[in-house]
Amino acid sequence: MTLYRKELGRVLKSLIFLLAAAGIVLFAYTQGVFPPHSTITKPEPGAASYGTKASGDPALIMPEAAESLFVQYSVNQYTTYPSGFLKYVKLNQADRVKMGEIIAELSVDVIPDDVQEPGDVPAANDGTLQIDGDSLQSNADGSFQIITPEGEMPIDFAFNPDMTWERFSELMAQADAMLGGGSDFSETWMNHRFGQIPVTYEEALADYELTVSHDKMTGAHARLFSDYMGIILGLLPVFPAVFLCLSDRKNIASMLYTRRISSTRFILARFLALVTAVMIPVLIMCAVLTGIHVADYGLGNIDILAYFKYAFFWMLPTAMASTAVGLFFTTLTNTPVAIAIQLLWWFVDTLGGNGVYSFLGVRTLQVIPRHNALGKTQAYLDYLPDLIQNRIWIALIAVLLVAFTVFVFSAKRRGLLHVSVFKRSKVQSAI
Amino acid sequence: MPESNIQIRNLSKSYGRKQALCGLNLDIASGMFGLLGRNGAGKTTLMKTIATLLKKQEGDIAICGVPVEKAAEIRKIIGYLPQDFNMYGSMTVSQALDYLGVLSGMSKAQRYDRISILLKQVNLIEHSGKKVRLLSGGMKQRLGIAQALLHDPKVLIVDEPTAGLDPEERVRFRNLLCEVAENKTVILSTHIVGDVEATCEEIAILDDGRLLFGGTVSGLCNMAEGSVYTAEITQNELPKIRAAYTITATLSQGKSSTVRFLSPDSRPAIGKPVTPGAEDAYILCLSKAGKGGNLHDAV
Repeated sequence: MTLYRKELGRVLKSLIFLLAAAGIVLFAYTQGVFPPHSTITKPEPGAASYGTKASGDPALIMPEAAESLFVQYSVNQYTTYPSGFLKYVKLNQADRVKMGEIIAELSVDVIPDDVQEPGDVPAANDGTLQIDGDSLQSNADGSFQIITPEGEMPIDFAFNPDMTWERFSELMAQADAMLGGGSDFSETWMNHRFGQIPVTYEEALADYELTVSHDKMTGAHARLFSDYMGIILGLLPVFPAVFLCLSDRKNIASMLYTRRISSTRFILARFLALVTAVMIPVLIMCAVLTGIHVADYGLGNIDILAYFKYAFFWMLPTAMASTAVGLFFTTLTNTPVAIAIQLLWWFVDTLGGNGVYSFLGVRTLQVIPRHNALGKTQAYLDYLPDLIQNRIWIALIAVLLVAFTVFVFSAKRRGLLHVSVFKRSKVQSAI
Repeated sequence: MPESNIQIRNLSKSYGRKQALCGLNLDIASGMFGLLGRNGAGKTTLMKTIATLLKKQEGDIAICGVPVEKAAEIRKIIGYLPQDFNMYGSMTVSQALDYLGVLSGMSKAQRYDRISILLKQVNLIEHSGKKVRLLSGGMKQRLGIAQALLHDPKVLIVDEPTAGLDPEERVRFRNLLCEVAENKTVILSTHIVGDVEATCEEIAILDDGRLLFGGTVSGLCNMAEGSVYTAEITQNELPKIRAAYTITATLSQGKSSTVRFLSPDSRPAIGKPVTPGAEDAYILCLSKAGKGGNLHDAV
């Protein structure tokens, strides 16, 4: 406990921690969750809109998705997010022919004769859509583009009414694979992007009532806060961890190694101090936010502990994981390589396309669960079992990394492990 | 012979193909013990192995009867001052000692008492609130010895502590080591013969991981009896003398020089024999080893 307090004091007084803490608060401020920019209000009947929701109805999804694919095919420019970042894909002639075959199968009207090889006409269609030469523009790369006169709608697309959901899903999977993944036609995104229907007043009211009864307002706010805090806690805690461990260089390590303390106690105290430190600004914000909501909704209408419950259940495992990555890889290598490793994990997690939003499914090793909505309580309750599993896994990974750190530290203090990443060890200097 | 606190038997250690220690046997009793040798002789490897920082490959080491494999037990009874001692620069002197005291498993009261005593002993009491990064080289070394003594260890391992210190600080540090050596075993590793001569009774000389000499300083000097000469020569004669003998000291006086040189095999044509000093004997020992001789067998 004494060592924990001393390590905590060292972390709290370090410049890198102060910068990380400032970064955490600043991020919350810029994202509009500290202080909160909106309050939860009861929906009024007769409003213009209550938002939209995914219907999951194949009858709605299929024609919308097929038409979207056709439009992108027509200009040979597909919007994808393969690594989370926007990427426009242009298909080569051979792939255009294959995509044309998919379009042809989806449509009752279109034969994409602008891209067909001579004599290669899909047999499955009866109708044809003629495109005259003026509507086609040859590009430098050999592809063609359909020119639609300004103000006119693109060529009409009629979805094949005989298409089954199974076959449609297969064709969309082929299209997505051809585009390199991350397109609107991937299995994950298709159900979300297409077939959206308006939320009714009754549904909006039910969601509100669930938010009131289950979340007591602050639960919903805390979820949105957790969503943003997860993003920042998935990255920044690695910095104090790396810098604290790097401070053991310059002959200080041997001073620590020859002390009586066990490796387990030393590493555990350090880990707990680092995690406590990064959670302090979060917990302070939680307290302030709870106070704000008391003023907004009244003390009797909120769950006064909601923010703290989410801090420990949702945010803490993320902070533990990024701290443990910093602790382990810095102890192992004596270099800041942990920052790059955590950055990679963070990047894959936050910008990795599929599964970014938890209501699309929480992946087991997702360090940053997302719930970028104020409310959506039912959706939260639906994915809660997955989220609990995820949080346990992430916490376990952190504990495992700490255990590995203990092992590495123990081996290093006995001279059993020398890891040199950037420079060759000099035997002579050790003799 | 006093009772041995550290027994080293057939100790070997290598880094890849480089043999750092080769079948070393050594007994170290209470008091100051000097470990001499060139850079790369194996001194630091030996110190680190005793301090549990390196794993031995062959042989045995026992410290106060505890085998070195029991690292947790050994750490309770040793204090270690590494070469180029350093500590977190943002800590003050007393904070640094308090932190290391916690790592040594000391209670708050124990830390308070020991830190006060040690700061007085190493003459840092007035600098207890000073940041470590602001300490001079000498003050830092004194902090180093204080931290090594913090938990009152039975064995103190001090590796090249005076390197980089000015002469005044060196003398002060040597005196400090002698003061703290009471009722302890202090192993002082250095390549500065003067430090060992001034502080240690028992010494060992290592070369290429092997023991060249083990015994007392006077024993070492006795071995060089009749091998050390001094002569006054002209500057023109100096290259000839240098080619023929190992010179241990040269004092220039205008056009002439007084040289002190070694001639172990025969009486030289010039010069007169003098009483050998520890440095003469040490260099003679190393030069004989360079020719394949081993003085240890003769001791």
